[in-house]
Amino acid sequence: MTEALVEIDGVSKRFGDYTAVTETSFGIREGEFLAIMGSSGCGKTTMLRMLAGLEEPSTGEIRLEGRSQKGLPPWRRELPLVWQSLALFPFLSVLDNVGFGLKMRGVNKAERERRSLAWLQKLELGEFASSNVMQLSGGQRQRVALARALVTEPKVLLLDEPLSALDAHLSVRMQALLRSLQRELGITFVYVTHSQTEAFSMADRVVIMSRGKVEQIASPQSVYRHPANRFVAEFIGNVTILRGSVAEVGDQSIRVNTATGSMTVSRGGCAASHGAPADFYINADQIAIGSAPQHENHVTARFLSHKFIGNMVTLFLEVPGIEDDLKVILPERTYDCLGLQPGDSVVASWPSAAAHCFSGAKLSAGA
Amino acid sequence: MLRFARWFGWAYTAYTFVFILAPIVASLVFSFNADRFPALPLTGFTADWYRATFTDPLIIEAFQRSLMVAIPVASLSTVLGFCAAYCDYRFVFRGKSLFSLLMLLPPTIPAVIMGLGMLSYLSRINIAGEIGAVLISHVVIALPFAMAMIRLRLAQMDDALEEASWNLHASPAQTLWHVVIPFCKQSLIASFLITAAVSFDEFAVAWFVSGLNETVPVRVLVFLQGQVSPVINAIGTVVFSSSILLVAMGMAFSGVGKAKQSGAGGSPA
Repeated sequence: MTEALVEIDGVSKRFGDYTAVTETSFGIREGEFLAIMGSSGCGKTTMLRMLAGLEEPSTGEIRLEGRSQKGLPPWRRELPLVWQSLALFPFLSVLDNVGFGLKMRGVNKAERERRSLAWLQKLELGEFASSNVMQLSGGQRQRVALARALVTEPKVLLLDEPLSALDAHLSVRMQALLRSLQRELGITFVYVTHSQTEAFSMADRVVIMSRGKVEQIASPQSVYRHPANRFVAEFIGNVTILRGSVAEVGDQSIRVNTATGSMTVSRGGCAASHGAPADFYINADQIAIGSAPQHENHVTARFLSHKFIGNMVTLFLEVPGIEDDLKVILPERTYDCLGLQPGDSVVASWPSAAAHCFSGAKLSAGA
Repeated sequence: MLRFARWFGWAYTAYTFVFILAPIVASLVFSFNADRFPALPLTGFTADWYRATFTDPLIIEAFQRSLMVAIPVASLSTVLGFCAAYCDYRFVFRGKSLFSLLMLLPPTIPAVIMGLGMLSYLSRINIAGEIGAVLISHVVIALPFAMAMIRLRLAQMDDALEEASWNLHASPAQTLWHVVIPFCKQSLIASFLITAAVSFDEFAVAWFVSGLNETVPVRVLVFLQGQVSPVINAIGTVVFSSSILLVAMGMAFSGVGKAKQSGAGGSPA
């Protein structure tokens, strides 16, 4: 693994009795787009504020290119942040907003204006240089905030939910802009968001946090396909979690006895021993629905309801003996052909490759 | 019923304004009346009383003195008011609520008590009767107004604004100069104008501490004690006009009735 550009080493943050971030260590690689995702109060914004120096970690330290940032006030750090509220200066023109960071670094006026204008043009805001920021639209202000943070050509850019105030359409366009900008500049982006769509569509790696702890750090694909634990699986929400006990351990797969019968689960990396309790998950989009089983694992279930998500449909099935509904995601066309009515009995089946133990779980009897 | 309530509301408001403004309007009207005594019917138009006002050296001197007090008072209270307001906005410290209470206390103290207190204190440090005594007393009286106005503006400032400035390499001092003060600029101007008006109009405390250095309101009283002259109407009109002008300008700058700008956020306010 390459040397991390930013190292977060044993960092925790307490506010009085409240622990916002419990001891956390991970590295941020040079040139990557890292999304920190979690629900509100999970510590993701605190983590970002510690990087910017707006909060001092209670323990541990943060290093940028190997240099400890400990005790360094925000105005001596090279970690510009794009605020959720944007925090543009309402009394300055667009050009002066962008040039603010350069002015504070003592860059002369001519040079400042040249560089600010170049950034505004790059973000298609050249014509607004002398406008007041209050006159711009939401998307334009967003780009001014980006230009203001990027004008000093930092190695790392921090972004705190910058798209949450935009409407869906504009947000998608900004996501594309951010992604291409990040690729083109080769700057490391650390992007905090609660939105799975934003994180998955832009990030190279995703950090999933919950209650001040990092639950998983992986590529969006592996978070989606191989959630590390129950929390991540439920947070992503594309799987059904079943519980059973290990009956048989094979090379590639294990057999698990559940309340609805015995099932084959692909083993992945987990160490399993006979008789151990086992949680496993079934990917919702790999389950087939029909009147007869089409794969080796199958259950008979009752169709409860469905929910459209664009061209896909999520079905909720009741399976005797398991608490949660079995979630199935089907293309809308397929769902239409089935012609299901609530209450209908169906057979849901899936290959063993669709079911996994949580990566990193140790399924031994004593655990 | 609703219509009656509306009508009553308007009538009541109008009545209140008439009640407040009638004496001032009377003074204004009689300041241009040729007759020596303020009585109806009006006998004719004259500017004599204004001529008399602006040729009386005692009155001119009082006006000059009032300005000499009002301008430094306005500057000093605005600067100190900004410091106090920013302190209250930015920092959490022990005894903060006591500090805020003390800052806002002076207008609640009866003017006579305040004047007496000021007189006994200032004479102890041997400046009672000097122009500086009026200046100090007026700063004490005007400061709470300045602080309140500036604090109100600071409350509209997005917390992230200062942090954004630090994040862009501005030290706290640079942030104060390049971000906080420009953000408060209008309220600083408003505060300057309104504290100037407060000082210009203040009578009771000035009467106690001014000695021979009479300000305009004190001069007016002395004038009234000696004689009943229509000149008083002219002085009153000039004083009232300048005060109302200062206050109106102050309100225009403080943005009363305008949409507030709290910082340029993602969504239009």
